[in-house]
Amino acid sequence: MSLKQDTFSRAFFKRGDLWAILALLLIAAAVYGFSLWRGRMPEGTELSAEITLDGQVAETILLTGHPDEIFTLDEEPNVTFEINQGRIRFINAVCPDKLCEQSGFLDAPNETAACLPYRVAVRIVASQAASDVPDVITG
Amino acid sequence: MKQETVSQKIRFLAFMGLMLAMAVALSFLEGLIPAIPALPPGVKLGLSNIVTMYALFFLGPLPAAVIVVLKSGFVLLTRGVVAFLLSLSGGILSVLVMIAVLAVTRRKASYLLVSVFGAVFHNIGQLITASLLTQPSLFLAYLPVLLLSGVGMGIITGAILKIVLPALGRLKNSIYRPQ
Amino acid sequence: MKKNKIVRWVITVLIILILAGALGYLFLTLSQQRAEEEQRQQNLQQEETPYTQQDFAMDTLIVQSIYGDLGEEAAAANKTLLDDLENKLSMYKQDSEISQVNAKAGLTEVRRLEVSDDTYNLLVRGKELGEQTQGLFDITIGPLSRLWNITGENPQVPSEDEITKTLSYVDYTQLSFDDSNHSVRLQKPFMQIDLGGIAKGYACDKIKASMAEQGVTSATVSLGGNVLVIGKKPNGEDFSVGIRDPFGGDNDIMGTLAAPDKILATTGAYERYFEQDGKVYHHVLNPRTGYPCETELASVTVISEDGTLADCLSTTFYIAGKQAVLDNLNNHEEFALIAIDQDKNVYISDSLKDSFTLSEGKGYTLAEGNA
Repeated sequence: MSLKQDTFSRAFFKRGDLWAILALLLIAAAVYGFSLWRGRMPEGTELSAEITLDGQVAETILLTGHPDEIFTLDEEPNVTFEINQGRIRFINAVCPDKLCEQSGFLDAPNETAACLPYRVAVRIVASQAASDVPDVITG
Repeated sequence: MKQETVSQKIRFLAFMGLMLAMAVALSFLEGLIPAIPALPPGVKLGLSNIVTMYALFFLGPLPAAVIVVLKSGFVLLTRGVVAFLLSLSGGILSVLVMIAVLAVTRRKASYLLVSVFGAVFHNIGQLITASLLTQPSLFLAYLPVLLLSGVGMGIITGAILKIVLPALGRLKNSIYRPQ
Repeated sequence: MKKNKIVRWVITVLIILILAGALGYLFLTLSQQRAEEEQRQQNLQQEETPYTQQDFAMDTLIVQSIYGDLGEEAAAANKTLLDDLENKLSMYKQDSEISQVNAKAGLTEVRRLEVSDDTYNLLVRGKELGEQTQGLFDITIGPLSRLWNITGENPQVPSEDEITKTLSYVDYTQLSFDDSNHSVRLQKPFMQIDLGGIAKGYACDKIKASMAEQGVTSATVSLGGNVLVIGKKPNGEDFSVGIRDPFGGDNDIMGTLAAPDKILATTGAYERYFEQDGKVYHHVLNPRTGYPCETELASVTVISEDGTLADCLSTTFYIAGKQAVLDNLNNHEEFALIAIDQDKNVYISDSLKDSFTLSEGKGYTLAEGNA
């Protein structure tokens, strides 16, 4: 096994690097813009939280108008959620890195957070609010 | 000549072990730093990438990949399957992309460029695995911030590599004594 | 050197393939999610509009809303059906069958009157319902209705003597039938049949059967307090039936119910009433006391597949009161209940809880189960 070694003095920085980095940043900005566009909420949008376990939808909760609540899923008692003012977040997952807790509140369509150790994810889904006007009235 | 090759092989193995130990130690060290609250989850410095890069520059593509896989094996033993899959996917994609960057630029890419691409694709690899494990929409939700943080962390790790390069060089020379 | 070059390219292509594969998979799943969402939005937007028609029949406003090509025909057929029923069943129409039966009250056996199937069947059913409700629902309440004349021009509170006298003419057991020729007879003079408590519910049943025959699969028909729901909307959603807010205006609701293929009947004191000496007299008369019923309920809605039953029971439970509602909330398969008391507590059958949505900010609370 021969030793491969930089036999020349490698530059730390080259001018061309700027373009490559700029390209990466542009991609980031484009994706961010796209997700903002996807997350736009027209009048009367209702938000729901879609909670998945192992990629399967375990529960869908209507967030709009939902009373503040702290709860766990029956299927996964180790992960706790909090609903506050129509937003949802992970709190207090029983896992070492607690990464999910830092995702913060989700409150726009397609925002997603995941607790990897338990493979629990929550995604915000938008739907048009059902009209309050009934089709017919009795009485 | 023959005698010389055997001796070289042993020296190579010793040095690989040392590199692996450093990678594991760095990733352990990184776990000790509390996650920065302002940053979204999963944004990490990727300090062990320094070792991977050094291996890539001074030992070659295959040894670099081997260090990545072995380091992930260590993660499997200590932190479980999910962490292993994340570490492996991030590491493999990162090292493959760094190899590609070197290949495409005929080994002339700067430390910074390799480091930035390595960090960015380390994040992307992890994100792909995380999305596949949980919820596909996680990918688009986190891609922008992980691209951004990848660029930032890549610059930092690249700079650290440049700074510790002389020390690593001395370490290597102590094993491969100058003939 | 050449070999090296090949290796480089192979590695590069491999990386691109792996990346492209993973990204492709992700975007496929994402676009699938997106397509589902768009489908959902489109279903909401591309709503087919029903044919709607408003008529006045059976002393109330009839609103028909029928989806599909047959809408106009079906609505016209229903209107004919309703007019026909009114001409047979109304006690206020001089030449209706019911008026003829009433005119012959107390006359000899020989003068018993043959009537149409509709009238005969409904009278038989009405008598049965009288038995089942122990007289709390009585189709011979006619004399009392006329005495109070709450729907009339200038209603007045009758004297106690008048009421006592009139009550003696109210007795559903004095209605006799002859099944062989579909003839009926009121056995005592001055008795009068008033089908106001079940005619609209029966009309719902008839319209339901008629529309099924015509092939209508999606419609709502409202006859005053009675609502007939046929099927679901063309987009697969349930029709939402608003339950009138008894403390609000004509179009205020206190909640909505998804009730596919059901008939709903609501009785409440807010419908028709008059005031005298500071006291409110509403139109729901108690056949036992002769006065508008005293009740702690503000309204009762009965949900059933049987419109006649729903119509009768909404009145009966309204008269019988809160305890009767609570006693019967969950132990009947043929009907379910939503009752509202004067304190805005809502009592609802367990079977309806999933399909009922309480309106917010109107002060209503769902009361817990069976007290």
